Amino acid sequence: MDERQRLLDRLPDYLNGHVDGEDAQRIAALLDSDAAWQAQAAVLADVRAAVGDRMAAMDPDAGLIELKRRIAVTPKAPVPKAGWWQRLLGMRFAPVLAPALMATLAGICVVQGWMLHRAPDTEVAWRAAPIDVAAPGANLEVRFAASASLAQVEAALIGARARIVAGPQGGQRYLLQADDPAAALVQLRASDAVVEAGPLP
Amino acid sequence: MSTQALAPSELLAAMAGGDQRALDLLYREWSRKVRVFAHSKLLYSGLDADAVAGEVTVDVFHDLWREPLRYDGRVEFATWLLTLTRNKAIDQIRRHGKRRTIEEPLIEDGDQEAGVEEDAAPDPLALHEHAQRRTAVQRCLQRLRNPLQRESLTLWALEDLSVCDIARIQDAPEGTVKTRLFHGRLNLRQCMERWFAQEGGRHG
Repeated sequence: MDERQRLLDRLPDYLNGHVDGEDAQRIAALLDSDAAWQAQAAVLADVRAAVGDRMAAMDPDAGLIELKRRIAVTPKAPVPKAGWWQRLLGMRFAPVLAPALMATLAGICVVQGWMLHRAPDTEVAWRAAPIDVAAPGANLEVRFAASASLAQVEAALIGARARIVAGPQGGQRYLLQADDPAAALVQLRASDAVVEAGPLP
Repeated sequence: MSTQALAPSELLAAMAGGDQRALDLLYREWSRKVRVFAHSKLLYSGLDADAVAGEVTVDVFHDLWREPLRYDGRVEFATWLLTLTRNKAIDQIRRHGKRRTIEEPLIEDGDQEAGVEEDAAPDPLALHEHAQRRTAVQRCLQRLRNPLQRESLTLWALEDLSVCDIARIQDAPEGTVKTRLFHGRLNLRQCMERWFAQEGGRHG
């Protein structure tokens, strides 16, 4: 396209304030110096004035009575109820609440962090503990056979009057607490479900 | 409610709450633009452009009152409103009549021009040059052979719309709108020159 024609096509946008940069400068220069361009702009100015005249000649209230009459006889379409999140988004004062909201969230984070720091996490502590550290109350260590069923293990524990307090740990070993460690050891060693059992140091 | 400087979206929100004062304000601010544009669209449609433009205007604002939240702010309000107006005007043309196959004589049609202007043109001696020019523009704008050129020019003048906005309203490519604006003002200028030559006025 011819460059001059391209700029001429942009003249309506320029006159309505929608052109900037280099094109705007070039159009302004052409309007200053070129009679043909001035004539083009004059026609558009005439159109604007003519449309303005037509609007000015009209009564702004014309038709308003008819509109009110129609409104009176026609029920308003029901407005769909907005969801709570739409109402929240639509709140004009939401920006005003933003600092308070942010402060509240920050406060919650701080309190939770403090509580997390203070609360003893025994679970985590136990999982991180080395194997040679016994669980509180544990007095036996046992390794069950890999082929032992849950029922056999349960029977062995009941016979030994012991309960699991930690495990499984390395090598399928469990730490037990028995009421009578010596008697429990005898029972456990006699069980087919147990590969080895011994007292904790 | 303050009556100053309320944006259309604010007025629509108030209308959604049933505030008829907001409707009044919106109507007074925008109805003339709607009516002028509808009139421009309805010219030579075979309908009474003045009367039907009035109906379209009331229709448009009635729709706004019934469903103010239809405007979602994705485009400028003017673009949205004038698109709605255009659709309503087209509906009226489809419903009540067809565009005349032979439109009224146009001032561009040289030999028919005299007969048209003889009845309706004001006495040029009684008018100042400025007023003559305004009259010539009004007449020539209304009688542009291509109604889409008239529509594009009217939209351009109504609300400082960009070519992009006009293209959106007319549902046409921007290049087409540029062509319409270019040829529209070319035809308008030729028409005005003929009008002045005929009426003995001086073309500035």
